[in-house]
Amino acid sequence: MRLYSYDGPSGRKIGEIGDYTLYSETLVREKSVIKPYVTKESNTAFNFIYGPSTGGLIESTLFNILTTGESIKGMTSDPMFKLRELKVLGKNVKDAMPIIERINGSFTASHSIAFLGAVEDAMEIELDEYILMGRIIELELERIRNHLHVIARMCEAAAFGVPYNNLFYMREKINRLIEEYSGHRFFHNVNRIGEIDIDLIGVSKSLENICNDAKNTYDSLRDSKIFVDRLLDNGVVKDLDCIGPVARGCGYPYDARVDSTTLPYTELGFSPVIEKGKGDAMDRFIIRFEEIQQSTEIIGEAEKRLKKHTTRPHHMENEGEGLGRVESPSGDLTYLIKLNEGKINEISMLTPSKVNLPVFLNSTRGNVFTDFHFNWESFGIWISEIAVGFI
Amino acid sequence: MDFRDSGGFYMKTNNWFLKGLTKLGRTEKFPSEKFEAKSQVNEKVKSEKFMPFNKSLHLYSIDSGACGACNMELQAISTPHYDMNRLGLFFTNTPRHADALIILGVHSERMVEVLEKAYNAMPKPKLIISLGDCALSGGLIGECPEISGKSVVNIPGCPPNPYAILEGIIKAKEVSSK
Amino acid sequence: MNQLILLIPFAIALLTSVVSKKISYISLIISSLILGVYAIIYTGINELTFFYLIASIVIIVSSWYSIRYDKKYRWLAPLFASAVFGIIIILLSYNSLQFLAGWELMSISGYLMIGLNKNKANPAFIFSAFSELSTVLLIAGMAYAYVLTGTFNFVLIPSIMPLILMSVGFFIKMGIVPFMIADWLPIAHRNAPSNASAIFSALMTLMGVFGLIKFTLLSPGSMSLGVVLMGIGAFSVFFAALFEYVSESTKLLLGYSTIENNGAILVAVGLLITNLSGIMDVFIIYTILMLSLAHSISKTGLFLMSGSLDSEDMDTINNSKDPTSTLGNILVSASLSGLLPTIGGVAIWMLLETLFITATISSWIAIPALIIGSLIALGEGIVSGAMIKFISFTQLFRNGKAKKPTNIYPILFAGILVFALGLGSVLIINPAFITGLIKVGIPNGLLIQSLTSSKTTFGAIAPIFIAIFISIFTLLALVFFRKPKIRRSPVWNNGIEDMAGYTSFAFANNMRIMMGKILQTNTDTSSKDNATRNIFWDLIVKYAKLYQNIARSLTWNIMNSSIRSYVSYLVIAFIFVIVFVTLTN
Repeated sequence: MRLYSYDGPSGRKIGEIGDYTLYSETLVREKSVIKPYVTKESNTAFNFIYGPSTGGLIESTLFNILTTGESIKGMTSDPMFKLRELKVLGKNVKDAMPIIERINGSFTASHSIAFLGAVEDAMEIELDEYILMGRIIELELERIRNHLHVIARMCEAAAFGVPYNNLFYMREKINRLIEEYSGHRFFHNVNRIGEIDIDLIGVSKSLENICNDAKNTYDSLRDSKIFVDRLLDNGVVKDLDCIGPVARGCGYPYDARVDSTTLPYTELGFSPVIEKGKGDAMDRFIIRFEEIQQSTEIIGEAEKRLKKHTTRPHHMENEGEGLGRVESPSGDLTYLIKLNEGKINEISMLTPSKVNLPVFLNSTRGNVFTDFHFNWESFGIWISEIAVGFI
Repeated sequence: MDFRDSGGFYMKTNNWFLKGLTKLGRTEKFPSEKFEAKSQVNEKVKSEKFMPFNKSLHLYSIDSGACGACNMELQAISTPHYDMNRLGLFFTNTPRHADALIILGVHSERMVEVLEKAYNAMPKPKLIISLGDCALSGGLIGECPEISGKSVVNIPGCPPNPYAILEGIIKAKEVSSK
Repeated sequence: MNQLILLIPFAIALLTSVVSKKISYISLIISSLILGVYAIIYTGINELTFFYLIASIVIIVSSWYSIRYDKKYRWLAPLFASAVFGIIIILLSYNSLQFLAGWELMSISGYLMIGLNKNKANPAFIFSAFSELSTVLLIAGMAYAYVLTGTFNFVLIPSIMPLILMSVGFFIKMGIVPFMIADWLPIAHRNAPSNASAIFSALMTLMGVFGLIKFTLLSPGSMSLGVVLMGIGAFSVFFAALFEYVSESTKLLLGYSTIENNGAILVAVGLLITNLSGIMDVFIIYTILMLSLAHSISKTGLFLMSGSLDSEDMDTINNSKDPTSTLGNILVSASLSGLLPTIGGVAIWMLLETLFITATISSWIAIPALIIGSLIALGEGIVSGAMIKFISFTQLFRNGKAKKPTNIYPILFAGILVFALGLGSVLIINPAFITGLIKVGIPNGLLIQSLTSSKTTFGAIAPIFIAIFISIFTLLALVFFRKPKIRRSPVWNNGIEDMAGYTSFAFANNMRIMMGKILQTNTDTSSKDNATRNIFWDLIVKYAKLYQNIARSLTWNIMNSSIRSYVSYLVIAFIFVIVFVTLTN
């Protein structure tokens, strides 16, 4: 590994990856203790089951809500209903790639770039600027799409048909944009080792309209007292263990785009948006919209540096250990892999959904039932990247 | 019914809150010239059952182990570009109100029971639609859910395009109403 | 014959209790049978000997139950027998001193029985404190009566004052406002063994009623005192019903139910004190008797039931269903909910009738009578809900895996008794109120009527006919429509087996939300019990603390063992006395 070492804790804590705990600068051999949420024995509360299969959730997961009738006293979850065991171990990187792309459809680019980051780290491959910038654009496009999706889901929870349709209309436009440039709506088969099969010149111009429309919708939504009331003081996060937009909504500048140097975001003048509020759903909502604007700017900057496309022969190691970290739309996404004769020997993954799920469960305490969806959607958690194992 | 001709429409409004929408929200015509229908009808199931769904069709989807892409694409058919409602298609929140069960994703141990329960909870006549390569064959990831063998229409793709999904669902409706 | 001779068999039961529990309980049953027979044969049923009958039924049922129940406690049987002995002394007493002796014996035995539960010292002390307060008030009242009449015997008292003093003392025993929801009853009941709870709830509070009626009959009437008592009673009915509805523990629920019933009795007593007219008085006395009878028997049955269950917490009860106990329980709860044709239904009907008759009188008392009548009706409605909650969560709702409830025949007996007494109420009530209505096919002697004067009928019911109609229509429905066809389909519970639960807490949430100001609910899940804050108890605790603080500051300021202030206090007091004596002479 070129950028990380096994050492004592240094930097901010991110989460558990395999047998280790990842800090922003080091890997520490300790089990990250995720505070188990303890529901106290009580004769006043009873259980309300939500999930695994219900119209309100787009993925299968179970929530066991402890309630006294209206207010949520505590919540536990069982996300492992749709557990998938992916056959990755023992495969070479090329064969494993399509499977990695299908861990989470919404974050395909993030997963494949983080995975490739780890592989390239292990193989000690140097990347040229065209590839780095291309990957940044991919990630940012995905971020815009995901944030639009998350906010649209929040509008759906409020039964706000107009902004809901507006935002999904924009999401569909982004999807088509991605298809236009990469050939696939979800970045499948775009990223390869030391390569990128996408021609991204001209993206930022197509994005301008969408960005403006998003801004209009954002302004209208912020003016709507009905909507804002549903978000304020809903799901206040107090944990330090959160990552991604959730953490930035609490005022912590946690962002892999700053503290991971695999991708040169800082060269583009990037610094994370933070919202020093209460850490409630409203702050996450604001963060997501502001990041849409920011991502558009990043794409513009990156596109300027796309022009000199040079390919050169790569130096490739066959064995090694590598760690790749990117900021997925929901937070730090990290792969830690060991290669043996070009084949994957060990692989472990840190996903933002897994880190943020306990944070979400804790933040629901004291809310009422109707707050649940706003809070849940504002976290942008995908069960598909939690309920997954490698074999 | 041929939905390809039903055309698009404008959402027009003067509401201050909706000003962003007047520019947006145009439903498209079906791109029949570009589009190649890929959905397959399961002849065996089709011959077994007669299921009249002449008008609307209510859909309930269950994620048995999908990556989320199929979920997003299925959900996209309700968005302005595609607008499933004009074709008489609706999502329901419970299988008790559903005519068709849409299966997404690969087989996973604990979802078997859920799928069975949902299918049993649906009122007759009922049909199953498998969406995406995972539900169809297991794709790259694993095996397909057992219950997807009963599906009338299989919609291939990883993930299938929203148009492909619409086409598949309409085909399922047409098959059943004949 | 001196009726105190009846004490001898009870004394024998008390003595044998030290040797053998079983013999003691059996001899209690025999003694009570003798008491009951004496009451019927030698004195005829009149207002006061009626209480002998009630007492003997309750003692018989609870002793019968105790034979199998009492295995855990070494000293329960002697204490039980001595409490019963005290109660019998109260009933048979010829003068105030005997009455007081019985009262103290009953209170002290009660205190010790609560103390048997060694986990908590608190409830026993609370019980004791309120008991002694009650005794002090009784002594004051009786001493006043002695000053007025010159004898301790029960003779007519010319003033209302002794009754006012004593009625407060009796309130405390009955658990009425403002001592009501002063939790002593509920708290005491939760900590006592079940058979003791039955005695507390059915008999000790009955003694309060007994004493109150005894002295009311000896005192002059008073319109204002009567209305005040009615108001207090109605208040008790309503608030106790509310707290009953939200109680999570079976014994707590029954404790509040006792308060609620005693409130209803107090309303009737208040009406009696207003002393309206001749015929109404008799009807009111029978109302009180019916209420006491209904409450004592049903409450004994329910407390014994709660002792047979595997848990006191309604959510964790896990007994398997048993038709016998369910039948007994439903009958008893129907009586407590005031449903006809049980005795409880007859009693509540009579109470409401008296109130509504009062409301028709052209006097200012009509208005409070109307308001109180509607409060009681409202309270009884809530009680029905509480009883449904009790039956559902103890008998019907879950078919648990634990053993069937044991020792259920005394409960079934109580259930059948309230039903039979309801039908037989026409035989108990004064013949002046029994009639018939040939026109609609009710023969003479089956209809209970309420009279506004000796000739005008106000309302009437026939419990037997109600029973017959219910059975006929049920049978007809069964014959014509057969057994209802039920289509069962599996529940869609998000695709998994049922994991959700429904608790008795959730059952009562509607009332908690509607009455949020009064029933301030503590929804903090960490607190194991007392989810509902009792604002009355909070108030009492607050004033107790205030009193403590004042007393302490007085102690520090006056009796601070400073010679100077002590001497100055003596001098001032001396001067004050001299001045006072000089002025008054």
